[in-house]
Order: sequence, then structure tokens, then C-alpha cells
Amino acid sequence: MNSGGIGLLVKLLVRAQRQKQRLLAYGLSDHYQRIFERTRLADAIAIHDDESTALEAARA
Amino acid sequence: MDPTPSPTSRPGPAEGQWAEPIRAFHVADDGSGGDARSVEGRQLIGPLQGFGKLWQKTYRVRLEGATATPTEVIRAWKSDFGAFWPTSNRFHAPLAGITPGEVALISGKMPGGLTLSTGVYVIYSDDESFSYMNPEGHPWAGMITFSAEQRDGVTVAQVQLFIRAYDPLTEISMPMFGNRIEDRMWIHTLRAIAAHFGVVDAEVSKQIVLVDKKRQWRYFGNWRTSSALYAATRPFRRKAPVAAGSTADDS
Repeated sequence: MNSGGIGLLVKLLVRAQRQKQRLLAYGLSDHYQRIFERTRLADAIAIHDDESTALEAARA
Repeated sequence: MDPTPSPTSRPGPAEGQWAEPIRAFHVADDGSGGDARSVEGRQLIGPLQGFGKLWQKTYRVRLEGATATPTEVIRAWKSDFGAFWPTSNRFHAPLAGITPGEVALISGKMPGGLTLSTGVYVIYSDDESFSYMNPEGHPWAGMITFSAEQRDGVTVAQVQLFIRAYDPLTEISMPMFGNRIEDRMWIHTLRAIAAHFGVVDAEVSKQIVLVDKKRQWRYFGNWRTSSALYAATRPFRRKAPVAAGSTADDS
């Protein structure tokens, strides 16, 4: 993933927020988790280990 | 011992092209002429941490007639990045060059003759592109990517900004003069790149997309750390007392 991928994720996040929705991520490899941290996407897109914990967080 | 690492232990091709995560800038004054204090201790910010509307601005130039490949264009761009900027701006290249994790200090003339000092962080780099993110205080919160690619057999160089104004003051200044300054900057840069490869008077195209028209009011307070405000109020601040054996030049 390069900066173009970051741009796509930010656009997706903006679209979700516009519709009062949250964006969560799960199943990311260490590599992608670090990219989320580096670019500070992780500030807005919570990262979860798996789908069930992500869904649990979404319901909370 | 087999010197060849197994495929599973070998880093993927993308590994190493991203900088390591940082939260705060720490820059030693390397004598390159930039103001290291303007970024010291500041946090890295992305397109989600600014105040203003979110824009995607894309500037492109076609290197018609040039034989340079995208890799050659990016190599030249990285090796002398500041040389392609307008003379009103200074880019103090890191000693290690434009590689992931390096910080470059920059300074630029603002309206009124003031000098703004800030920096950029090399967040990503490969053979055909590289990207910067900014510290708190920089007029822009976001990511700027410089790239080159082949289109219809012609090498195209591109600057793409994915940015918000960092603070409300910058947001207000955008329609007044900020957009014009930015256009001039990147059009000049791409023309200089084109001229470097023998393409004279190249036409630069511009595409602007408003990605998010909402301002992020929770970042209204960013004005407190604005580099532009710091530059504007510098003449009115007292100089710090000079300790023996050190300098405190705030000019």
C-alpha cells in the first residue's frame, strides 16, 4: 500500500462519518497496523484482532 | 549455514518503504540552515488532524519528448528536491537524503515579508514516488505525494496533496492568497522538473476535488501552535536571554 491507499481510506472514513457511521478494521497484519499508526489513521479507525471483537465494539 | 533467508523471513517488497511510527519530531540542528526549533517536540499530523475542509489537489506535467523514465524522474527529484522549488522557499534537505523517517526543515516567505519555518517528514518512499507528512503547526495537515508514471508512452510527473488547513487562520487565508501561493509553488516545481529533463514551457494541469466540506471544529485550537502565527508575532516577542556559551537567536 502506498499513499494512494491512505487517500482511499480517508475518503471512505469521510463518507462513513457523513452517514453517522463508524469505520473499524480487523485482521490487519503487523505491517498494515504499523502503517495505520504511522499515518495516524489509527486515531480514527479502531483496529481489532478479529471480526467478533470488531462487531462487539461496534455495538458498544 | 544457508546465507539465503527463507521466503517467510524475508521482508515483503513494501517493507522498509514506510517510515517507522513517530509521535513527536526530534531534530538535531545539523547546520543545514533550517530552524530545528520550529518542529522540535511537535507531533506528526495527517489529513484527519487538521481543522479545514479536506482537499485533494493534483498537479501534473507531461514530459513530452523527454526520454527519462519515471524512476529517473523521481531519482532526480529526490536528489535535489529544493532546487525545483521557487526561490522564495528553502528546503533544507536531510543529510541522509529523502528516505523514510527523515525530517527536512523548510522555510518560506509569507505575505508581508515574514518567514515561516516548519518541516516535513518523509513517510513513504519507493522508486516512483515519495510522500511527506507534516508536524503540528505546518499550515497543512495531510500528506503530499510526488510521483511519476508512464501514460500513453509519456512520462508524467505529479504532485498530489491530500490536505486540510491545519488551523482556522490558514483556513481563512486560503481563498485570500493561500490557494494562489500553493498553485504557484507546485506549478513552478513541475515546470522546473520538466525543464530539468529538457521540456521547456511545459503545461501543468490542475485538478481540485473537495473531499470533505466539513470543518473539524474539535481542532479549532490548532491556531495556538500555528507556524504562521508564530512567524507573524515573532517581531513582537522578546528575545530569550542568551546563556553563556550558547545562542538564542530568534530572528
